[in-house]
Amino acid sequence: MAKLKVGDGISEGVTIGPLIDETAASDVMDFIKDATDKGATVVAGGSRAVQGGSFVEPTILTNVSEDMRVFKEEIFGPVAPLFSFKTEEDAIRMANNTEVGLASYFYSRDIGRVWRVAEALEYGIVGINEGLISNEMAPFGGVKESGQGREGSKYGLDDYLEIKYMCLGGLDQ
Amino acid sequence: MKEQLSDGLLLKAGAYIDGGWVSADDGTTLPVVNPSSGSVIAEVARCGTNETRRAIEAAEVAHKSWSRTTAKERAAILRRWFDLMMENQEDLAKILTAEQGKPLAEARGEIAYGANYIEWFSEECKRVYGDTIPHPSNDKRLVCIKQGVGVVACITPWNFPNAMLTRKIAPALAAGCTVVCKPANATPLSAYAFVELAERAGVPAGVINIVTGKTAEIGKEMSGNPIIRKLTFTGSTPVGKQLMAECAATVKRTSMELGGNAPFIVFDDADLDSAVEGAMVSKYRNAGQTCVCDNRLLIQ
Repeated sequence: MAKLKVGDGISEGVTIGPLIDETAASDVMDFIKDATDKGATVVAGGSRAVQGGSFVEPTILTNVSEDMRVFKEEIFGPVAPLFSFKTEEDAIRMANNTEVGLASYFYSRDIGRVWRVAEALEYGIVGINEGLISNEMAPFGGVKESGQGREGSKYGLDDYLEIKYMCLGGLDQ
Repeated sequence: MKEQLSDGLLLKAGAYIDGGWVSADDGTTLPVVNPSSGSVIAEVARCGTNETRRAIEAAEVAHKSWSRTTAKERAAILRRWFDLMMENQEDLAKILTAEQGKPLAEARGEIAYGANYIEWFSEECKRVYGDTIPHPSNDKRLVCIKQGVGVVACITPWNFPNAMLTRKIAPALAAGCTVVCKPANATPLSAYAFVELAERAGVPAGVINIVTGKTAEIGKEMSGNPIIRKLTFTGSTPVGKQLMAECAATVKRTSMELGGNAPFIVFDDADLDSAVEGAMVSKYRNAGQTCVCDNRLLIQ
C-alpha cells in the first residue's frame, strides 16, 4: 500500500488518479460508511485524499460481512474489503453469491483445487494465479447479469456476423 | 492541451458524422473536464436525436460500399490504423489522462491495449470461413456463408475511453459493418482523436461516426431506429437492461458488457507474494474503476 501514490495522473510516479467526478467519489465514500456503520474496520485509507476534488485514498476494510454493500455491489473505487472463509465450498458459495458474473480470480497451487474451483465459478473469466486477464486474443465477457457476447478473440468476430444458409436445389436433370 | 501534443490536430471539437466535423444543430456544446484539475480541456458537440439519425443514415449509405470491400482491403486499412495509433501513442495517452484521470503509464498501456484489438481483427477478418454441409438429397447442395450484421450502434463508458470502443469498432469494421458510436460524455476526446487517425488510415466517410451529447436522446434513437441491426453496450447493468428492452421492439442483436462483482480468492496453499501482487494490480488499476477489478477479497 505504501507504494501507491495518489495525484494528477500526468505527474511522474503517480499510481492512483482521481475518480471520474465528485459523484463517483461520494458514492465510494457511501460504500465505506455503509461498511463501517455495520461494523467494518478501516485498516488503511478510508477518507477523501488530501488532493481534494474526486480523489479518494486507497482503502482496506476488514471485519466485513455479506450483508454489506461492499459484498453485494460493484464499488468502482480504490476500496478493498477483506472477507475470510474456512473451506473451499465456502469460498465458491460466497464467490457465486451475486447476480453478476464477469471476472473472477483465485490463487492456489493445488492442481486438483485449480480445476475444481475454476469449473465451479459462475463467471465468464477466471484468472488463476493471475490478476491481469484482459487481452485482444482472449474472449472477454460475462455470464448472468454481466451480459452476453464476447469481445476479442475469434469469438469476438462472431458477434458482428450473421450466418446465411444457402440451399441450392434442382441439381438432378 | 493542444500545445502539449506533438500533433495538435488530434484534439478535436464537434462531432464526427459522415467523414466531417460538425456542430450540434442548435450550436450547443459540452465541456470536457480534467478530473485532476477541474479545468475544461475542450468543448464537444451536444448532439441529440436528429444528429444521431443523420449519423445512422450516413452509416447506412457507407455500408453499401464498405460491405463490398474484400477482407484483404479491410485488413490493410485496419493495419494502417493500428500503426498510426501506435505512432501517436504518446499524444493519445496524454489526451486520455487529461480527460479520464488515470496515470500516464496506464494511459499508454490502454492505447496499446486498444490498438491491439485493431491489429487482431485486421488479421482475423481474413479468416471468416463458412461451411459446406452434407446434403439430405442428391438434388441439393447446402452451404453457409457469414456476412456482417449491418449498421452497428456502440455505446461505451468513461473508464477505458479508447479500448472499450476499439474493441467494438475493430471487429465491426473487419466484418464489413459500419458504426455509429456514442462514447461517454465525460471522456469523448480519446475517440475523437483516434477517429482522426482512422480517417488518415483510409477508413472511408460514414464507416465510423461518433456523436456525443444528450445521452438519453442518442440512446433512444440508436435502440429504436430500424437501420441499426445490432447494439453493443459496455456500461452498467441497469442501463444495459433498459437498452435490451428498447432493442426488443425491432429485434436487434445486442452485445452487453455490464457490471461485475469480481471475487479474488486466496487459498491457504497459494503463493502469497504473487497473490498480493495480483490483488494490488487488479484492485487499484485505474483507481479501482474497472469492471474486472477485484471487488471482494476472500482469504482462507
